[in-house]
Amino acid sequence: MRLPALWLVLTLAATPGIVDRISVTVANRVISSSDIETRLRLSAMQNGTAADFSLAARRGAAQQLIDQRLVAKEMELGHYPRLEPAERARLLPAFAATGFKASMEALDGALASAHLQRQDLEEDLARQSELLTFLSLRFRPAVQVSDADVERYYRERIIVKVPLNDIRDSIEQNVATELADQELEKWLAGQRKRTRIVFVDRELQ
Amino acid sequence: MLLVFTPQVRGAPQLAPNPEGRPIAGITFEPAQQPVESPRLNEVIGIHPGEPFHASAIRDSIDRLFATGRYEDIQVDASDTPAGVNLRYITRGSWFIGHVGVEGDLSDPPAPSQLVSAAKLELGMPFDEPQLATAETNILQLLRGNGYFNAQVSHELKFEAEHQQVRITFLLSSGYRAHYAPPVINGNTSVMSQTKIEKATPWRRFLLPGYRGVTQNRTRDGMNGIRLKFQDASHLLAIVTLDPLEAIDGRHATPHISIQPGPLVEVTASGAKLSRKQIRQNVPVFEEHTVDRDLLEEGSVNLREYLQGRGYFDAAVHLEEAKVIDGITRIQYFVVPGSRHRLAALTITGNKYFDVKTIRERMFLVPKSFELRAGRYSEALRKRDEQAIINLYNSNGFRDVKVSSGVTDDYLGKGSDLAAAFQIEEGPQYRVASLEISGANRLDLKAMIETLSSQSGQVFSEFNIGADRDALLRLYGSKGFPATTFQWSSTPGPDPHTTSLRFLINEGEQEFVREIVTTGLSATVPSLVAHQLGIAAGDPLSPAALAETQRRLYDLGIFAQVNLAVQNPDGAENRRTVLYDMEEASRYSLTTGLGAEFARIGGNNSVTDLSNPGGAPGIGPRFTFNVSRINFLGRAQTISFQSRLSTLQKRGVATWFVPRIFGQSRFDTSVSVFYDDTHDVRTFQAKREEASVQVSQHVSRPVTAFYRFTYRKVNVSNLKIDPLLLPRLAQNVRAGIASFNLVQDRRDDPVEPRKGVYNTLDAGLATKVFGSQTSFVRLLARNATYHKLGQKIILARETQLGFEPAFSIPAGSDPTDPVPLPERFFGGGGSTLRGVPENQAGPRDLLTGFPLGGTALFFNNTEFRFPLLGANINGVVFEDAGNIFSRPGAMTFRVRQRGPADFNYMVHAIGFGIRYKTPVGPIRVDIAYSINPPQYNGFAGNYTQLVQCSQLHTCQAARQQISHLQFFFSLGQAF
Repeated sequence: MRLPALWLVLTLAATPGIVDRISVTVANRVISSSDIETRLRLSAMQNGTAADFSLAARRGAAQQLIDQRLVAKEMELGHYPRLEPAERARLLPAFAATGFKASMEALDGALASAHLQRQDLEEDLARQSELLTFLSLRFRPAVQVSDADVERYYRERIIVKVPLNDIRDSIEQNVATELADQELEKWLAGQRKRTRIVFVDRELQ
Repeated sequence: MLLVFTPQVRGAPQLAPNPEGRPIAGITFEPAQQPVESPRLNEVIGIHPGEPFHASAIRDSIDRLFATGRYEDIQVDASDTPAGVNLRYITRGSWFIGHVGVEGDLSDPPAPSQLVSAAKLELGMPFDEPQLATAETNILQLLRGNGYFNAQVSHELKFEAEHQQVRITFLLSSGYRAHYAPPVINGNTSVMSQTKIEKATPWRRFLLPGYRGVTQNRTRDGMNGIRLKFQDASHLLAIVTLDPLEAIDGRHATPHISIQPGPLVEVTASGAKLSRKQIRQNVPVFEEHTVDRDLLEEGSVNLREYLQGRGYFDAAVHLEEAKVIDGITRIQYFVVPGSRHRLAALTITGNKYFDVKTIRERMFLVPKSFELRAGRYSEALRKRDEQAIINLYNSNGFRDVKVSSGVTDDYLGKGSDLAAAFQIEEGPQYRVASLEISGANRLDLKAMIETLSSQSGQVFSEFNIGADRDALLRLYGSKGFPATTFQWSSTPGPDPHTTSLRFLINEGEQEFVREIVTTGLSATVPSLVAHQLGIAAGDPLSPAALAETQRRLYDLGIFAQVNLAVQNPDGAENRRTVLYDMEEASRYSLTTGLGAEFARIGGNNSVTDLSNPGGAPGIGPRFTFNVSRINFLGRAQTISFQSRLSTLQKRGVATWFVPRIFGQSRFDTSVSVFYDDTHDVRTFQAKREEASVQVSQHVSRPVTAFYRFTYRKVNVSNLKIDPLLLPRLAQNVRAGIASFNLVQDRRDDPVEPRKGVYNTLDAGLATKVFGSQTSFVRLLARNATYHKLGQKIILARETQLGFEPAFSIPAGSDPTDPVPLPERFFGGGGSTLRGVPENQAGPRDLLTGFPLGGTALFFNNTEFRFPLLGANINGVVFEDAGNIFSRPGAMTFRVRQRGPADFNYMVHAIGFGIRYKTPVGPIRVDIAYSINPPQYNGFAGNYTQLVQCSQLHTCQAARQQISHLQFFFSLGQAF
């Protein structure tokens, strides 16, 4: 008697009839509850884990989405290049090739079991690709990698010692990427201060 | 029970399962009244009944709804029914900042507007509760800066759901304003004593014990004063800082000042004679209170330019590195002034399209002149002028223009003279072969295209394209297209030197006015404001029209501030709510004034004293008291009372001014009641009681017409004239006059005109029909013109002509002199004829010599106004001619006076004046010398003797003359 009652309570609590709502607002953009759920489902699918809808996970997803919205707004204002439709069309097959033996059917199956649509994944992949473009156009040009940076990276991070000159280019690339990431973090922190961000769902704050 | 189990469902999705793909049966909103208007709401949602349910579409609809800026929260509820899914949008609207005000015990400073501004809550922007805490902190900080250390601030919110606005009122309790306490000086005081430092501030009361109240301005002035003191002592790098003021006992605040005097800094120049003042003016380290390389280099450039301006065109100034010797930082400029030159000639050749004057207007080089003795020349300026000429030609289609220049020394054998010559090769003028405009779909540009400067056949230049771009964007802006963009491209045209142009317009979305909300009205009748609105709901959102309405509201003269904002400016909506938030100005204003006239206005006014009929030097103290109440009845009407009390005059005027009568902005009216007891004409004392009604019509920007009816009664007394004339001239006068006055004002500046025209025509009719005892016509015309001669000299001239013929002369009146004494023309003085004192021109009593006025007047004034000393002192040389004539037929240009009984001749005066510029107009001092001042017969004796001798016909004439030399001291130009 106790268990059916518990099941009934849980079901009612989980399905209040609300199919979507605003969770966070970033300037005049919205992060909806479905955005957060989709984010969590996508992460789980891409990581091959079970979806975690805990409050901590939802908070983490909300923070990621805030950053995404800030970048999207900047890309729109700065007229940064977006993916062409043909490029977009190649994203899902390329993703299927990485973990689904290049089978779109297998990918569709995985999407269905994760309660996702193809469009959700395609948009996420497009966003990741565009973020890389933004990073390389906005922050990479300003990054200066000095010899000292390269030597420090070689000294501290390369365990198997090969001659520095053999891997200098790749170290330079890594250092540049790290520095660009740091610049992005700084920029995001600044944007967060300047932008009106409201947690409509106060739990997520 | 539920509380116990809730943690276990944390890991579950928060949303109800999607009825993905199910048809949508219906869409409802909660509340039913939504912030976005109904037709637009459906457009924004973008989901329609009958369509299949897609979670992504719902998400997008929430995104679009929120982007309108009108919502704080949106939830979508779905209930599955056999007919499909019923969607319900549950929303909560957002709030925007409305009127922000302050209330409480306030003492300026800070002014209420400063407090509102410190709150940093902008009209129309989204309202957020946490903003209020910041706003209160800012207000408290401002209050503390002004000595209110115990101030308290709270707020009151009034939510106006109709317009989604929040009216915010900050409630202040400011408390007592603290006074400064003796400052505590920390740091090195060896350079300057504490007393000297304190004296550099305005904190201590002048001539009184104690200290003044704390204000931000006084604190700032005090710190600046201390810094300047150190600067004067050559401690340019002195660091003077003030800790935040804190009250010590709630009533006093001790300024804690830290001082680091830094080293002595000496700036000198060698090689040329440059005074300390000239160095200070040109080397910005003194102004910026810091010494760095950039400022010193700037000083070097300034000094070179200063020397070049003095004729040392080859001057070179080098800066030596700063050296510290004996603890003194020494900065030295080495100056090589070179020879002193003058730019004697500047020639321009090869120009056909532009005349020399047009080209010269754009050049920096200036040949020597009266104003600029050495002219202006340097190599850099010559190169700059070459480019300026090229730009001028380029902007007019001469794309291949070439300009070269050279300079000749030893011009015409004078070693110090230079001549600069510019040669211009104009080349062909490019023209537009064709113009294609694309992208203009929403507006009909046919009429606009005809006015563009880059039409087919017109000159092709980027300047013209820029002008066309501005015109097109202005047009789009005025039609509610705020985001229109303009691009252009060109290709070579079919013919040589032609270009085919293409304008590409991206119109963007058109925006409209959704509604206009006015706030901040307390005493003002709302309909008064409504009448000024030049836009209405549904109109395109034109920034120009919005600003025009704002200007009209300011023009009412009843608002201290009119804030204009578009509510929710960042929201994605195409129908905008326009906000006008007004702050009503203080309704009462009171002014008092104390002054004095100094001119030939003296002499005893007693009826028995017949001395000085021509006036004597004297001072007339004057006291004025004015009070007015604006926005009377809340309809922008004004009632005022103005009074003046002086030794010559007692005057009081009460006026009721009603603007915009007949619902027309061009018509104003006023009703006045006037009392005047004056002795400004030395012959008699006049007590005037007058009432008048006037309607003014603003015909066009420069032209105003006045329609006036005046009824007055004048009591004349204390006449100093031949007793035989008394029965006729000493009568009290009643006059009813209907008059028409036309004013045309095309002057560039009414206070100090430099060019333009000022014309007035005054026509009046006094008849028995209007209650007048005497019938006469009064015509007075005035024409003044102002011309610029060169850059700084102004030729100003004015001619006045007046007639006052009488008609229907009553029996018993003198047909040759029927106009009553107080209604006659009187003239002469600082603004008409400076050859005679005030109101001393024209006919006089043949026995006493006192002026009698006339019925015709002519005055002609000519002035040359020129700079005299610095920027604020100008000089004037003038020639005045004219007189008051006994009758129109007696007017003449004859210069010679035929005898002491002849006043119908032209008085001439020449003179010199000085004008000192002030914000309210120039202070004027004029000294005039009349070449033919009137001679007349006066009477040496008192009035009793005059009565006796006139009965016996034994009066002895005493020949007198108006002084050749006259002086005037007043405010404002003569005309």
